[in-house]
Amino acid sequence: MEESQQIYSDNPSYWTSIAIAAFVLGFIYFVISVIGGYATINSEPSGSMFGSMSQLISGGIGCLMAGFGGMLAIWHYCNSYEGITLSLGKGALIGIYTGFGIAVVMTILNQIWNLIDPTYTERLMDSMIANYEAMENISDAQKEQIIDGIASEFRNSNTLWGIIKGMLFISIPVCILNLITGMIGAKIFAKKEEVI
Amino acid sequence: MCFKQRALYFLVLVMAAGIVVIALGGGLFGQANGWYMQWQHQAFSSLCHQISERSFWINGQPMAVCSRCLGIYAGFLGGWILLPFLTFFNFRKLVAYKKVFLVIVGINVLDFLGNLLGFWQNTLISRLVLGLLAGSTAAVLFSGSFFIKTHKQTEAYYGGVTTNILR
Repeated sequence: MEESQQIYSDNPSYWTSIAIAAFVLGFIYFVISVIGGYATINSEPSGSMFGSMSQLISGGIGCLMAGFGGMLAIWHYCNSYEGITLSLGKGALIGIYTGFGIAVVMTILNQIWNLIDPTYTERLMDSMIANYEAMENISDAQKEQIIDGIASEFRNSNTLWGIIKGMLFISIPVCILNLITGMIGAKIFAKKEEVI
Repeated sequence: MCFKQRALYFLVLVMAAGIVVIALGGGLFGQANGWYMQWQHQAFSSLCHQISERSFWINGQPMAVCSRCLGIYAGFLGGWILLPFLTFFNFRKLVAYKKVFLVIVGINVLDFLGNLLGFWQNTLISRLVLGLLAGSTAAVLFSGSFFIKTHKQTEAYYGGVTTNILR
């Protein structure tokens, strides 16, 4: 017991846990979103605002993947250094870093996928536009506005600023959510700090 | 009552409040542009399916997150605000918070799967309520971490007259 306290007293690095959690969850999220993207591309435009089953599944799983990174990182950290104490603040910090890591991994993998399949983004855009065009319960003006928005959003997503902006937009809520799940992870998995 | 880690408490409070306001979407502010392009929707695009028929609407625009996610964020904010008050009730002896939290998360997953597989049809309200429960129990996990009820023991006053510590 005494020995283990001596070993971990100088706060071992948590970067390995952050990197593993960010890569694993960022990768799974990317795979799910690509599968969802191809499902959208290959489906007939339904004209329904109610999303497809794939959208529901990828959204539900994506939420878990992007949101629980903080908890996974803490779990890995606590398993790597058994009996380590962790304050809530440190849990929150690990959560924020993991959230940002997930956003970075997702962005990089998306860009790599655009190199592997350069037509993916364009086909996804066409499929989404076709779905909105088939909608009957919204006015033509609204339809036009949404379609213009989708087109401009996809056009901008290929520029450097578009990529950075997209990553920042994603990373802010993901970081906040992971801050909270990091704290929950510290509460659940870590040994309590002794109050003096 | 002792208030520990104030900075972290207020940081999380501000962030949770910000998340809830953003999650309410552009309809709250009467944004004119189509909801699909609103920055609130883009911000949550990686965290929620944002299917408009599974979301509440404000001013003719769907919120940026579905009803369950709204419940989770709002429940967490509500629970976080109530943390100081929970200190006065010693629930800790009565309820195993971690188990309750895990059970409620499990119920949410079951509800999602049951609806997906067609066993039952959940509603906007049922998803909101389950989300609220999940969010609030997540916040309640932290009861006792920021606010601690202090009991001044009788022994603390022993010798106070002679050593002047009571002044």
